[in-house]
Amino acid sequence: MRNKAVRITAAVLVLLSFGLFGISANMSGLEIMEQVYNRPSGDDMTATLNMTLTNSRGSTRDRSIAQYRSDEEDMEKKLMFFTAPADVRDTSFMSWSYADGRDDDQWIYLPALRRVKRISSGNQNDSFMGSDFTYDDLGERHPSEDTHTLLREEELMGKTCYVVESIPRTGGEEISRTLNWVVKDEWIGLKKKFYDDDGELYKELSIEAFEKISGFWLITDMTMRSVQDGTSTRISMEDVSFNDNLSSSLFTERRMKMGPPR
Amino acid sequence: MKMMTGDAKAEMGILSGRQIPGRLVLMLLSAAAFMLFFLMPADAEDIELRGMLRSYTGVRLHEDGADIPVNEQTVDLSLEGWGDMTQITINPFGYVGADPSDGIDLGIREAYIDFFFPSMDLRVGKQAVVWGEAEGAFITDIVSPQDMRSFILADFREIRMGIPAVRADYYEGPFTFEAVWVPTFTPTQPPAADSIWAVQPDLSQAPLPVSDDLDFVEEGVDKDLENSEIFGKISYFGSEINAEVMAGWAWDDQPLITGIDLNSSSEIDTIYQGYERFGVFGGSLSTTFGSTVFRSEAAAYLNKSFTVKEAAGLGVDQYNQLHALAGLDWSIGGITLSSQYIFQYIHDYDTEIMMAEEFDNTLTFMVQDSYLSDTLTAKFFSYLGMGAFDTVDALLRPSLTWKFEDGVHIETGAEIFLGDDDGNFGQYKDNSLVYAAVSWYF
Repeated sequence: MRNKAVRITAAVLVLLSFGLFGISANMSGLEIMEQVYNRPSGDDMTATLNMTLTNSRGSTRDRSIAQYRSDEEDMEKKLMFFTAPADVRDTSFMSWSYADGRDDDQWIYLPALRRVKRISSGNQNDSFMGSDFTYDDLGERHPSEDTHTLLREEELMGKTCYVVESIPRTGGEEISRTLNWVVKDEWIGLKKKFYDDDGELYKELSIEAFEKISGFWLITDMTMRSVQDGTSTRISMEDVSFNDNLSSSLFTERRMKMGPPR
Repeated sequence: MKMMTGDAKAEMGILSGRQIPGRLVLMLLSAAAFMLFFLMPADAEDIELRGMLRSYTGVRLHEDGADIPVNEQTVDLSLEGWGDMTQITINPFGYVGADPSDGIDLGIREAYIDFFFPSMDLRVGKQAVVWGEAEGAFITDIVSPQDMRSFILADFREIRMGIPAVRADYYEGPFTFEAVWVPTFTPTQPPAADSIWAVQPDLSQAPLPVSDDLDFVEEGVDKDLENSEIFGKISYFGSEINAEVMAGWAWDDQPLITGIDLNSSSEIDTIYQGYERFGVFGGSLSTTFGSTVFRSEAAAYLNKSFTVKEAAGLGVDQYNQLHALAGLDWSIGGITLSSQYIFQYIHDYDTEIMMAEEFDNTLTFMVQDSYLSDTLTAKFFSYLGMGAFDTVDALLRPSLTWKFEDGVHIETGAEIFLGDDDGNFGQYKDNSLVYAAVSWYF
């Protein structure tokens, strides 16, 4: 009886393994990146981002941001308050991103101007606050914007990862291709390499820590290194909270001027 | 640009933004302090002091050599305190000029208390109000007067003066309904009489000869309830568009020549200046076309007063004026660009109007780029005034800002005035200067 049970269990595991491998083998690069894009991330999230910029000589500058995100119907709203250093304090930035792929709406509040100003979302490749991250890096690039090819599987940080090559569908972008290391079944990116339009490695994103918080996988510590410039930016997250039922009144011009909730 | 003498200001009791505020301001502040004391919870969650120190030196180059007309040290503080539903803000400042005998110029730019309700905010006290979409132009943004202490101020925030006011904002979905009541009128702060930015009114078109010994007498606005200003605005904040519609019953912040006296030689020897009422309605909007932001703003000033030539001298007459702007913001390869066209038109223009053209056209252009992880920013801003398209004058403002470390900025640049003596900018062509400034934010 025991032997029968063992045999059945083994058979199930083999079938399951084949099944999984079968799914894996059949998954395309696009499907993997869609899994990443659609990975559950809660209805809303609150976090504090600490950003350390290191220049090529090794000197550092620190930034601190209070971030709020809310997923509404076909729309993601994000609001960031810059809380340090003093010369950028009280500046806030809000973006509304749309599932249908149209351009984001973006606004910035500059305390010196005392005005919430609509800004262009066309400069997604611009540096975010002088860091090695672009606005595009910090947002969620829709998979349909690139063609994706599954290259291989690799072990990274003790996890089995898919390595997917992504190439922008439209020419003329600053980044000609990226390589993405995506943890199998958890659909979280552990590493990303960016190549410039000459095909040279431009910058590299590495993940120092990721964890499951309130049932959602989240990268909590990451570093972007600009290989050609010798600079890097580390972002660590703390005070992370999911599904706090953030009010829609948070993502408004009023709140941008008022500053983060106290 | 008009000028009034310091004596005249004192006689008329005109208050500058840097002098001790008037009685009503003190009353409002006292009321705010009273409310703060009694309404703020005992365990006020937070109090924060922040500020800025700046040293600014401008060197004017001319044929005879160079002088330093601007050598100013600035302290700008902000004290904020929070309760559960309230916040106080006090913004004192001080300027120490090039001449030590001038002493320290102290003032309170803003001092107010905010009350926050679920769908409404109320702000009481001395405050700066900013409206509209224009940058470097004031179209619907006429609630707060301007500090013209120097034609060029190092920080844009310092241009707007705080005024004693009560402001209420009510929020309903994407709409905001705002009302501002300004109980007493505060005029624009003119440059000091001995400032390089002080200019005499252009009386070249006056119908009578002007005495060399000219006196200016300014007639202020009585602090009566009927002289208060009121403004209202409805704004919409949405995905496709941001839009505002506003109206107001205001005083013109700039003094106007309202009359003259003649001496025994029938020369104009006394100029009377005063302030006149006008109505305003207007609006603004911003939206995006692809990656380009389009901004526009327009206001109609109804029955606005202008100085006119009369048989017996100078007087005042009312006209309707249109002031409008259209602008684009875009970026190319990380470089930010912005351009605006600003237009003014006086309806039923009469050639007897002095110191104002029927049409006035101004272009602005800005280009900005940052390098070395945003630690170095190069910026060029220009005004190109075109009058009625037959004259040209300009202000060119190149600058370079280096963020030496977090919170410490070192800036250098130039203010270059071009044009004829009667141009808005050309009249300052002898004041073109290069400058350097160090600012520390904490």
